[in-house]
Amino acid sequence: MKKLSRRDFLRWTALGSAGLVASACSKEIEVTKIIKETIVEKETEVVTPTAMAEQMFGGSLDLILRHSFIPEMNAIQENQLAQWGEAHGVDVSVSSPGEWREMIASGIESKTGDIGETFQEEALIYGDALADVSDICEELGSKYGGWYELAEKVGKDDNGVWRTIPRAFTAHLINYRTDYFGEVGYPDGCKTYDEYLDAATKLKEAGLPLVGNTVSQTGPNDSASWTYSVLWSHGGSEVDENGKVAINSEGTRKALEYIQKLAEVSSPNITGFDEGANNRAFLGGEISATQNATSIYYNAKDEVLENMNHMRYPEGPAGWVMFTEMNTLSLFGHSKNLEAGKAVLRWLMDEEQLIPLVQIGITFYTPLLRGYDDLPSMPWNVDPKLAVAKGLAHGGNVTGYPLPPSAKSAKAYQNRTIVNMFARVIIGDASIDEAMKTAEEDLKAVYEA
Amino acid sequence: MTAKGKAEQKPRRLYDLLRGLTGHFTLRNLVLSLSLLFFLFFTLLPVGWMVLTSFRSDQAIDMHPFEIHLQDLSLDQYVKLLTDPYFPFPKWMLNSIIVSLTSSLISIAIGGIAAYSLGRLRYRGGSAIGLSIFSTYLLPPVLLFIPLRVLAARLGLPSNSVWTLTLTYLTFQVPFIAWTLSSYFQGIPTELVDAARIDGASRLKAMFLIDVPLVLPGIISVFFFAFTLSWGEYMYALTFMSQKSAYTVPLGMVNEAQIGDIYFWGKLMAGAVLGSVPVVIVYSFLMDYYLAGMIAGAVKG
Amino acid sequence: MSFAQKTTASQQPNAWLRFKRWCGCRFEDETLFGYVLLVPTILVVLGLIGYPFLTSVYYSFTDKTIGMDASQIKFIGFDNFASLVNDRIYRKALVNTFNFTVTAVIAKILLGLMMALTLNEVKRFRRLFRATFLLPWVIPTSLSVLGWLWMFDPQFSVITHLLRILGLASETTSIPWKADPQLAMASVQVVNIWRGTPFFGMMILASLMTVPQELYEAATVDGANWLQRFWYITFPCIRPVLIVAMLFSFVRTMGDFQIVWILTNGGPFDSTQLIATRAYQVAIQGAKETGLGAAIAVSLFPFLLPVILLYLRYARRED
Repeated sequence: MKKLSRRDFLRWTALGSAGLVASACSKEIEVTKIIKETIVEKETEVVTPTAMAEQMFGGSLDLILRHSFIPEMNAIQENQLAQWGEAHGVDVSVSSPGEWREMIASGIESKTGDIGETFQEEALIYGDALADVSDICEELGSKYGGWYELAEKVGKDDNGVWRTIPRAFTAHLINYRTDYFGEVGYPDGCKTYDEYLDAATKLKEAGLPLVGNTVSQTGPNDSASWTYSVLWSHGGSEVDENGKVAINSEGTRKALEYIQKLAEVSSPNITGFDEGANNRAFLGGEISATQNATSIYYNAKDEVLENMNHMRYPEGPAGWVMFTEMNTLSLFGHSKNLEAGKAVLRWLMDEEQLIPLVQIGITFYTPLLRGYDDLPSMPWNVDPKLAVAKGLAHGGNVTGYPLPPSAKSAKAYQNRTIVNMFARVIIGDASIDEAMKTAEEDLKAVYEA
Repeated sequence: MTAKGKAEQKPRRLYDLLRGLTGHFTLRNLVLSLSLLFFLFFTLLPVGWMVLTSFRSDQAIDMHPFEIHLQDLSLDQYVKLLTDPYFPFPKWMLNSIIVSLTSSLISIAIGGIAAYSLGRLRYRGGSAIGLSIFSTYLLPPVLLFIPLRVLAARLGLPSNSVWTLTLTYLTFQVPFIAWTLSSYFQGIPTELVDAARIDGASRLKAMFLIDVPLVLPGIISVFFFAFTLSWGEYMYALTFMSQKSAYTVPLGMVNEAQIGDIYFWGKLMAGAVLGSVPVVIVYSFLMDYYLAGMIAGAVKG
Repeated sequence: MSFAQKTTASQQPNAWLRFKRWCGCRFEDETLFGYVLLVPTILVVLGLIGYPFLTSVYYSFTDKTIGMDASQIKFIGFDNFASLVNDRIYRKALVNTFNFTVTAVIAKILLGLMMALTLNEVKRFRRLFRATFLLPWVIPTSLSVLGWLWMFDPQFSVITHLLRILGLASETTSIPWKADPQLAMASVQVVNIWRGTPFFGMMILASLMTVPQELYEAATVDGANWLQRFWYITFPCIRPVLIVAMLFSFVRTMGDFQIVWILTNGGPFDSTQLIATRAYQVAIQGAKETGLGAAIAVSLFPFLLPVILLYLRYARRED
């Protein structure tokens, strides 16, 4: 029998506890061949889903969920929902296209659909087009050790009403090669940005594969995650506490200078990476580090898998502030089946349902409830390579930091102002001062319109 | 043979002589060959690379994309694509065929007669109507998909239905057809129709029996373009089809082979190849009619 | 005359025949006939597309965002458009759109013409060549663009690889297809041209085939050389189709979205940002401002005026 990696162990445990083997009592679900193969390979115990409340709701529910790079995640959710639907007499249908956010937007506008997995601060923008889910959120908070601050910032609107349930965030970590970093003296990763720069410099001197942190409009999500974190950790920010644009500051300058120095010792392709290119480069051994969700880890094999690990984004002079990518569950206000919608949301967020998802998600879904931090079955407690993801939400922020997220911060994020500010400096298209000025102009148009 | 006929014969022979002898002929051939080569390269470099990729394994593509070993080529990607229980590719093909074929046929019928009206008949307001049809293209579909969804919801059109999608495809096919065919109709001579009308044929008869056959090559081209446009359409399909079994080929392929930031190039390219086959078949099929129409036209001329 | 014969032959005046005769009489009127033929189109087009089109135009004068209730929408006149003037990204997108469209359409016309002329002369393997040249157009854009994404990959680009084999590119540095502003624009243009040339090629070819051979023969007899034959015979005959294809392509290229969105997402730093991608970003992502996004798309209308005028001038019936 082949050697089990921790990553695979998590996967099988999750599939077992998700009751995917127990299909006898649930509707016939098509599951991927991958799942079938892995179940057959290892014997898992049959765990029947917990007894659900008997209430029959009738009607139908249409859900739009995020498309994950881990196909089992979508399969598990569909299976869970099918079981729930059958037990409650509700016709449940799930779709998870790549453009799930656009489909939610069109659903809200055309008043179709019931539930959507909104992204980042979208729920705040949709505002009262979404139903009030405060009762569910308060219950979850008290049951599972309280929400992280981040969750409250994203979930509650201006009036303190929960418009969305912060389900989980996607952990972005620096994937790095332990063998190469070990050779230059950092086998366990770097704690500060200065250490990271040092490691990158030494890698270049030693002729080893360079670091490749994406900074490109072509790969906007990865880049935003990195550039915003670098900016905030050096003391810079788009706006100050009063909402005035404050990008032209010492903190920003420090961040830009840092990135400039890092770029000199990084792979020359970082300004051209699209979302998948840094994956390909890392898996192909071309770069020794990059920031990414665990999609690289999920696909790694043999040599790369053995020699890779994750580290948190480093600490900067202004502390450790990280950009987080949130996934929240929202109930549309126009839904014709609000009661059923609330019931299914409450059920989905229950540990029985959430745990398998988190396990197989290997930090693609990291809950924002403190109670999960120490749960032994969580990926960060099972797989040492994912240990750094524990409590990651603590220093996390969404757009708009230091202010709470808003439509304006979402717009600034979408304009890629910060990403482009960094990219231009790296390529040499603009000096640090020019880049800051342009960013200031763009941000003023958004925040002070 | 009449004296006139003899006179016509002589220049023809001279022409053939000229063609056979002059160096002009060889230069023309050279230019022709160069041009052919250029277009072959232009077309086949990207397409060839895509097709080649569809025959390689995922590992080969990721690990050593430029080292191609002939013995490693296989139909694996195609098999995976066609037998995936979670992603019904054959069903997608069926959906695509139904939607594209139906919408193109309806569009030809509707747009064709409109084209005739715009291109052949004279009446007031023709330009204005033509212009308003044309102006529906001024807003890109990427913005129109949401209001269209709203409209569909209000009209009670069901999602995940190939018929709803067919209806939405009419919105970009009919204007194109009306517009393009009208120029074809404009280009044909009026004498035949005039002669027929003098003989007492009604307008309808004249239209269907005389003018329409004359633009048959045009109709065939336009049908083909409408078919291709709707075959490759993505945005509206995405908007109205949420169930996997209702997907069309482009929609299904993109969602199956591109997951998050991971792309399965082999599968994608296999899907692209298979997804193009029906269109090429339709094209070859139409070519027969095309050429037949040409020959008939030449005889008539 | 044929009508009279038919009715006497069947003794009882058939209802269908009467209807046909009535139609025949009615349709003698050119105007009525003309309008009737247009009815289905108007129903479909203006019915289905009219609502989305008109509401979008209406929204461009409001402050609507996605999810905003109809009662909350405020009419703000030209405010959206005014704010665009000060929007640096919008201005860049506008310039890029013209650059992109004009270059791509001209290239497509020239290449398409070349392709059509070439294919017209080919005698052997006709079908094979035509089917092959058609492929870029036939492969669904959403898939072929993904293929190009890979072909422009910083590390694994087959184009770079080939250039290296030919000795035209260095072995160590990779060509920044998507990272360099000019190269990125060229890249997206190349993909658009690659995809769109067969359209022109086939349209022009169809038209070329309707040109009567005798005209050529007569001209050759008169001593016309190749260029003269082209200019005085070929060109006028294909002109109508060429203009239609050009107008259609111009409008479609101006609204092109997918190529830029997938390849570069508007980057690097908005060098390939187009009106369509910017409108999408604003209306559906970001702050989801439907009104502003619609305004961005509508702002192109005045610039499309010459195209519209050309259409009108051309559409007037010429005998």
